[in-house]
Amino acid sequence: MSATTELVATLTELPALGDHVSTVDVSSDGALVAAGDLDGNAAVIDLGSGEVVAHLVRHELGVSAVSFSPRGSVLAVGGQDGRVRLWDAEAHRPIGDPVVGRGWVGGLAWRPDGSEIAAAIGTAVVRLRPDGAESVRHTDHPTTVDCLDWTPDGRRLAVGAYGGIWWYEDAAQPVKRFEWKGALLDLAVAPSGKWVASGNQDASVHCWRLWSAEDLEMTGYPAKVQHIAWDPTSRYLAVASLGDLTVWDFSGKGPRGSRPVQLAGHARHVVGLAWSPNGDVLASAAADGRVSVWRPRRGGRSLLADLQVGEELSCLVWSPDGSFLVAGGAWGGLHRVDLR
Amino acid sequence: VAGMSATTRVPVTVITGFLGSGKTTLLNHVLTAQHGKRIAVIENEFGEIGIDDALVIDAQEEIFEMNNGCICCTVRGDLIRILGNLMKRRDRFDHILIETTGLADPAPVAQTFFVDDEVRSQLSLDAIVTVVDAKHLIAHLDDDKPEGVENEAVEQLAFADRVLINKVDLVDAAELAEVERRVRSINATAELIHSERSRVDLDRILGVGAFDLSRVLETDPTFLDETEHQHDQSVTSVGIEMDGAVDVAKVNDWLGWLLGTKGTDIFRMKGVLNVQGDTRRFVFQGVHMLFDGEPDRAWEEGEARTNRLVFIGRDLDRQELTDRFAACVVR
Repeated sequence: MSATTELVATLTELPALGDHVSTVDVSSDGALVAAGDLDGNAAVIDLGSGEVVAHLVRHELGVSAVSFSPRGSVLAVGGQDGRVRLWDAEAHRPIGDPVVGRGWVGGLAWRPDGSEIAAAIGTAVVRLRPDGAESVRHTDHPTTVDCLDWTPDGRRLAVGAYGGIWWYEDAAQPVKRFEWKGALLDLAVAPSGKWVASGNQDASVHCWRLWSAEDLEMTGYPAKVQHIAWDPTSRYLAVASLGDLTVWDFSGKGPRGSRPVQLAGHARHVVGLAWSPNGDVLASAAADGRVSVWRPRRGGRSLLADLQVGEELSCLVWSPDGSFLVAGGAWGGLHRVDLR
Repeated sequence: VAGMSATTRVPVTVITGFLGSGKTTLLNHVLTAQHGKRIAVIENEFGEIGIDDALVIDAQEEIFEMNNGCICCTVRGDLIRILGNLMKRRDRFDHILIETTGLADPAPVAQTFFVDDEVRSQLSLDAIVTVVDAKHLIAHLDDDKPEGVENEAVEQLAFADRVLINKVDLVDAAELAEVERRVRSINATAELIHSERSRVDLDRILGVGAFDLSRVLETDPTFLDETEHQHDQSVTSVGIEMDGAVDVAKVNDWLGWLLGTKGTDIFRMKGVLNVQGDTRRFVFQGVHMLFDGEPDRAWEEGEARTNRLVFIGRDLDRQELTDRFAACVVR
């Protein structure tokens, strides 16, 4: 990591939605932003003009996830009505019919090569190809699926629910299961493919080594852990619980017995946590209205940039090139934060 | 205005009761009554529908037990998810109703309001209302369960703050008196309300603040009159009323020990204490091992500073509870 230098953050307001922004994403070329709110609206904004270019079909009771395909221009939108729709993000036309499930959409995750998207709908996970065709459906989970992620090579899909992690390849049945008594709220496979970590309802973080399933647990967080993030080198795992931010170091013998770096954190609960694509910095957004950018250092000043947006925040995403962030707000605002 | 703040929590009423007791009729009554409140209903059997000023959300009753195996950490995962989202919407509700399935144990629902900080910061558990069918309650209470299996009808009564004795038109006075006696023998502090076709004055079940610490034991529980021993049942209420100031450290030790060893068996617990050296009442209440307590208003001039505690639970030893509490009183 290079020496700490201050970053300059500038704020640009994008067109607002009508209600609490539950999800936001930026397209792979950095040209479009998609966002959804809890009133059920989803919109696509062109960052060149700063205008809304499409209002998508409403999802009653709220939109829960939007996600652009890693390459190409397919946008997936899921809602609390249990529906997932794929859209041609440039032509703003739906691709095929929506998939309808029982329960709500708990998460969307594109396979790294873009050949499929996994959608958690209620207790099931449905996998769709970019043309809208269903490839496989996993229905083994006893409770609503809250989180899912792919291994970096795209070979396996991790599905987190109450009771642990279910691992899938291309068949409907799981190939492996990491059992754990508790509810997983967030799940992240390390980019190295060596670890999987979960943030949990019981205020802990659990890590398993792939594929020995040797595990370790970090406890003592002030509340449930809803956001965790690996840096691209898989050396650091950032964890948010309420306003606290900690970073664990997995180098050498790993974090067992060590203490994490504690960042100054936020005055209210963190709503978004993500490393920049090159792994240089960590960004957080919180209900205190701040977007903060950190370079975690033990004992030193870690905060590089800090911006008060003027609204309680609700979600955060990096642009794929790492030049800007977009934060969603609890009152519908969409805030672009450019960094240099 | 004093007392108003951005952190005002939205009250939540939990409605339990067996299938056929009249829960759904009660819900419909609440939804169609002219109360001017915007209500959200979370229930298990319906689809998602909007009824004028209400929103009805289907829930899946997902019980989460945490890794440490502690019963008090058993919560309703689906409620955490649904309530969390409901409270984020700009469209706010004045009141939330949660209907449980007929055979549900009310504990995980109640515990959700103690354990999850997101839920706790925005919502307050107002009351647990148990609806019973006057004609069939006794049969349900006497239903023999295999060893180790809880009688859900008993459990639902034990947790209740309000018991709606419904369908009173289907029983005669003697039968009704027996139903009341049986309810009282399990839960001595709940308020009993009679109804036909679940028609009830909504002020008696909504916004009653039964979990509000300052209202703990506001009404005189009738448990002190209860001298009759109930050898035939394991779930009972034990009330303790005792004068004298208590040593707060001793009470803490005792309650800590009690909940640690018998927390699984203690469904509800409430109390008002006269703490030595404090001019204020200390009020507390708990569900299983979860416990909430704080100093409340000052004792008034001339008010008897009497300690009053109520335990509702399984296999409670009245003598032992009374003796242990007496040991905390500073003579």
